[in-house]
Amino acid sequence: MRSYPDRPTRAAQQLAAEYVSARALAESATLAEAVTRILQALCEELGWDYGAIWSLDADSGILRCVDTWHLPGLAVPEFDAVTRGTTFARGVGLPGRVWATGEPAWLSDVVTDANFPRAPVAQAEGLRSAFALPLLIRGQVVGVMEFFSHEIREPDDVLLSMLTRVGAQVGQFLERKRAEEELDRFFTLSLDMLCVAGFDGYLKRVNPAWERVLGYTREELLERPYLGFVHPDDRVATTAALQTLGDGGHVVSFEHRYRASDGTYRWLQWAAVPYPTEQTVYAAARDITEQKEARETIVRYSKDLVKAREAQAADAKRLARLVSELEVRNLLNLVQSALQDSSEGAVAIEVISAQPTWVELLVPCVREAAEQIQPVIARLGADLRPDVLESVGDAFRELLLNAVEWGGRWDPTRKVRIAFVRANRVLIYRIADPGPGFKLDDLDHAAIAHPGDPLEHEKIRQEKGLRAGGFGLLMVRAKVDELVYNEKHNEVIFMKYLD
Amino acid sequence: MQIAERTIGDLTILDVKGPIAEGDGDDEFRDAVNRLVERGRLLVLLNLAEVPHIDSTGLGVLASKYVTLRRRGGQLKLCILSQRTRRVLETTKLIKIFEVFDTEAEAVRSF
Repeated sequence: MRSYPDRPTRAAQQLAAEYVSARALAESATLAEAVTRILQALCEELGWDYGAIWSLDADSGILRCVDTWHLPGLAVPEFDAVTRGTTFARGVGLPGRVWATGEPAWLSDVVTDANFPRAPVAQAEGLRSAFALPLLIRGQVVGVMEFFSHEIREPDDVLLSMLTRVGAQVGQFLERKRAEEELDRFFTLSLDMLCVAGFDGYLKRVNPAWERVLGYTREELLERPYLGFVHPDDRVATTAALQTLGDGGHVVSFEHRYRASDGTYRWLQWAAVPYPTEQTVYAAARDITEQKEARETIVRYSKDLVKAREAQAADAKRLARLVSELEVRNLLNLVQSALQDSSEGAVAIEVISAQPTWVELLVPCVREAAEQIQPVIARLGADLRPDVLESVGDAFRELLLNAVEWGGRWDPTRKVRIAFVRANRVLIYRIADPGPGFKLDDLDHAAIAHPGDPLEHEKIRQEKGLRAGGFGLLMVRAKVDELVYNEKHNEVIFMKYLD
Repeated sequence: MQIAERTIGDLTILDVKGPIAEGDGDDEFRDAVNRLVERGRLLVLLNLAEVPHIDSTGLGVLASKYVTLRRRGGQLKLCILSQRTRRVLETTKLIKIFEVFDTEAEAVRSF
């Protein structure tokens, strides 16, 4: 049996126990450290020989031993081994009993207790009294602390009451530490780069993702000002973002380049929240280098595509121009060939224009010229319906002969200007003679002036000594859709619609 | 233009081959009819089966010779017109002036 010759008063003991417990909780960085310190503190201050702490594994429905502590020199190896290796179900043994009731329990002599499975080992190693208290969070048992003494001790309600308060503190600590460790696991496992940075320009804490992405050790990242890692071209923008954080603003989707240990730069996208009172920034960054490159590739491809389309359009335009030139050349060839097909001694007909939609010729005022033009008209209208071609061919011939005869007086030095315009739905012919024109009132030698008698004008022509004829305008009017003279009547336009 | 002349009694049939148009057959046709008039052969039938085209001048010659023959107590009739020739006669209303026959036999019988 052991004794404590300098044991302080019970009240002082309990106060000291409460104090050291609180201190142990406050100063411990990890749950394991805190547990050990509390067991030690309570054992030493309260004069108990052995302590164990149990944690509830809610998933398995059992209590597991987290740690044990005993006074230096105390030899309880078997009991300690059994304690560490045993789990308790709800209601079983001292820990299970406390779990089931949610209340402290006191066993004056564990050896004689009916619900203490470790009794034989305890007896063998001289442990007799025990008490246990629940570790509670919001009234729920999350663990159990138990203490053993080699002495038989009677229940001490005051001690149990004090220890209940300590148990509540420990329970809260356990919960907080669990939450912290859970967060730490997230922090450690996160694929994103998480950090705590100071307003002083240095990183305070980084998760392993930093080392993975950038290749630096944690120490290298923390010992240098973080702005030094930023691409020189991005420092102004980064400083502006830091200023925003310094002013209490949040940063969302900020992007810049961060130098990796191999000298390359990685694009990072940031979200950051400042805590000005702590002079810190909590930030998460994501490596978007590949994403950025993919985006740039798409942009480059898009530009290439636009260029390709422009080139294609230019090609199409060039092709259209070539086709047009080809058509012009073909047309010119066609016109010239049609003119050359005429008999020998053909008169010179000047081609002013041979555009597909505009053919213009200068024709000397001789009958042969009119004959030469006919094949041209026929070839230009080769794709027209035969009746349409016949109509426009006849009309054209009549009007051209009128022009060279009446306007040009058969004078080869004078020219009749003729033009042919072809649109989608209409053919337009224009014939301008070099004469002074005429008045409609002077057309009594034409059939058109005598609609009731087709022979009347012929008699007038004979009287006037004019050659036979005079049916031209009447025929033309019947063959075309529009027939328009200019005011002087030395220029005529006729149209034929292509329905 | 080619013009072949046949006679049946007082009737002269002219088989015209080719267009009757300004500078292209009009003079030949005029001369042929004038020669008939000079010979006193005033009953004339024109077989136009092989006349592809008659223009304003050609129509004028036809009309002129019709008037000439009528003034002398003769007649000028037409037979076997192409569609194109018929259309141009209709357009100019000469179809109302000339007696026109689909066959030569009918035309011959009409004199």
